[in-house]
Amino acid sequence: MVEVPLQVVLNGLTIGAIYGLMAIGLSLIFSVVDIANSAHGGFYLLGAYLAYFFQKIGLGVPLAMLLAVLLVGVIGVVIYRLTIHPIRDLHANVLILTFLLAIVFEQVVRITFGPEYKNLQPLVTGVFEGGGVVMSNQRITAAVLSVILVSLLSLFIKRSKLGKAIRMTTQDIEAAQLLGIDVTLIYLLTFGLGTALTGASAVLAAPLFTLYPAMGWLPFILSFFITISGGLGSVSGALVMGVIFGLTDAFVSYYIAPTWGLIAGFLLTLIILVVRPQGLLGR
Amino acid sequence: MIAAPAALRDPYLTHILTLSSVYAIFAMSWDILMYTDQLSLGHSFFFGLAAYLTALLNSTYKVHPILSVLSGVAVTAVVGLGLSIPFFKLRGAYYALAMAGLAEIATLTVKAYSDVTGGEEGIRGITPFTTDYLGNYYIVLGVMLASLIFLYYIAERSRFSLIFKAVRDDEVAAKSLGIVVHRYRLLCLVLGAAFAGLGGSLYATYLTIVNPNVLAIVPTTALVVTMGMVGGVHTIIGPALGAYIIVFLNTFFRIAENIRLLAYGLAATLILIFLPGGIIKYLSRAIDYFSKARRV
Repeated sequence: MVEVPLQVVLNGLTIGAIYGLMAIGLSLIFSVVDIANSAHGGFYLLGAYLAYFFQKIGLGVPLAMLLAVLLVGVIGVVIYRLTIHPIRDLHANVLILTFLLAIVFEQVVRITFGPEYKNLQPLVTGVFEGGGVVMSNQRITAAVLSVILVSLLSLFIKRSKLGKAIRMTTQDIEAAQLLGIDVTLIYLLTFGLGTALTGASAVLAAPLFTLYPAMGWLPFILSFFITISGGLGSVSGALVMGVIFGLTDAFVSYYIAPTWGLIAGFLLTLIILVVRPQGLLGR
Repeated sequence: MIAAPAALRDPYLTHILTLSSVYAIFAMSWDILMYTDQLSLGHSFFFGLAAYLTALLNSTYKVHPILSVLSGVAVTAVVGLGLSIPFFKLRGAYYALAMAGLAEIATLTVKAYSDVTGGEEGIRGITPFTTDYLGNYYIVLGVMLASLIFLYYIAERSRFSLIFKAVRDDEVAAKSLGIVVHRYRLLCLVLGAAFAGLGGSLYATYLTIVNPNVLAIVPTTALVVTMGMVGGVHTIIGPALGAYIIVFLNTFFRIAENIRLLAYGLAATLILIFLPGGIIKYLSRAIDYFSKARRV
């Protein structure tokens, strides 16, 4: 019998949870605001670099990360109101506009911080060793926090008053308006919440990798594939699909070669998409 | 544009014009997809695929440049045809972003499969059609003009023109009139893939070098989308014009290399918000205005 190393399974589970959080921001904006946000990777990039900037100017690591996340949310709201909202009904134009915004973000970062690779300080340092498993504490923390944040979001959408208003807007805009829900405000808040979650995934995941101006594209493509193959608008779908993707990545990386891990994950999501266009947990 | 390089004998200017023509073919191929509402945010996939194929055939297997360009085009056309099976289940944003995913996967694959593709370094030493810069220029210009006339005819002057418009405006209504929408989307996809392949193959044989950038979303897809938005979509001529503008600006701003892409990104964003329709729309309005003024 082939023994499956525990390390590989844990690698897959942790990175999968992080992928899930990465995708949740895109998924939320896609399903509630009804726009495909190609600037998703741009917000991810901003989150990582803002945290880097706040760390550089001497703020503590947790504070720097928190500020970065909040700021990404605020930037998201402002960008949405100024550029996307006026043309939100023209879907193709929104897609191109957000794509161009991502390029603008990338170039702004390149000019401000330079093209060199940078490192973000992790929230917790050190390495966990035990039971034949070696894993950085940051990776464990990031995975646990990802699961917590996704669960909180799920709870927020299901239980809170604002969450109910958000669901109402998703299901029937006119009825929502009749009940006195300010739909534009809901869009603004959801967009901000989505970008803030993207920023959160960036500050948690970026210390595991390196920072560079084009770092946002891979998370964007990843998030998109995870979102639609998991089922659009399904919070748990994104998490489940993130974990499936992460496990595929970990196993292929271990048994074949690290460079093929992501490629295998993408191919798997493409297959899921073709076989089940509504996604794994989609309706 | 046709006589100037021969008269001026300026290798650098000729180089810029040749590169513009290569990108013009690519930009038009992106636009033809837009005719049936198939926005692609991963069009560099076809461009890069053909560029790599041409480079491999030519440099590694010593196939004649013309034959390797033709096989690049043929393969991308077939790949486009094959992709229609999974991709025609997708619409709008799903389609556009699935294409982007394809480009990203291809970029990762090329980097991973470095034994054959040279990884980040890419492939060098491709044999060009000719080493004479004017010869190269006229070959590429000729191909570009032929593509322009062909695509413009298909998209604007043939019987397809109205069908495309009907499909774009209201797919259900088009279907109810008996238009087999699927067939016309397929036509546009195969044309878009083949001409992007033509652009990519010419790029490889002209520059004699390819690297993973030709497949990557940034810069290659970013460039083609910018060219299309600046020039004006659904016009064929607009994106070609956009290609010339962007490549020339690229050269002009060589000193300010840092801010080039930022400037285009911003310019294209502003054009998208304030001048949807691109430069070509305002250019044709100006021409209309002056020709009317003369008649009166």
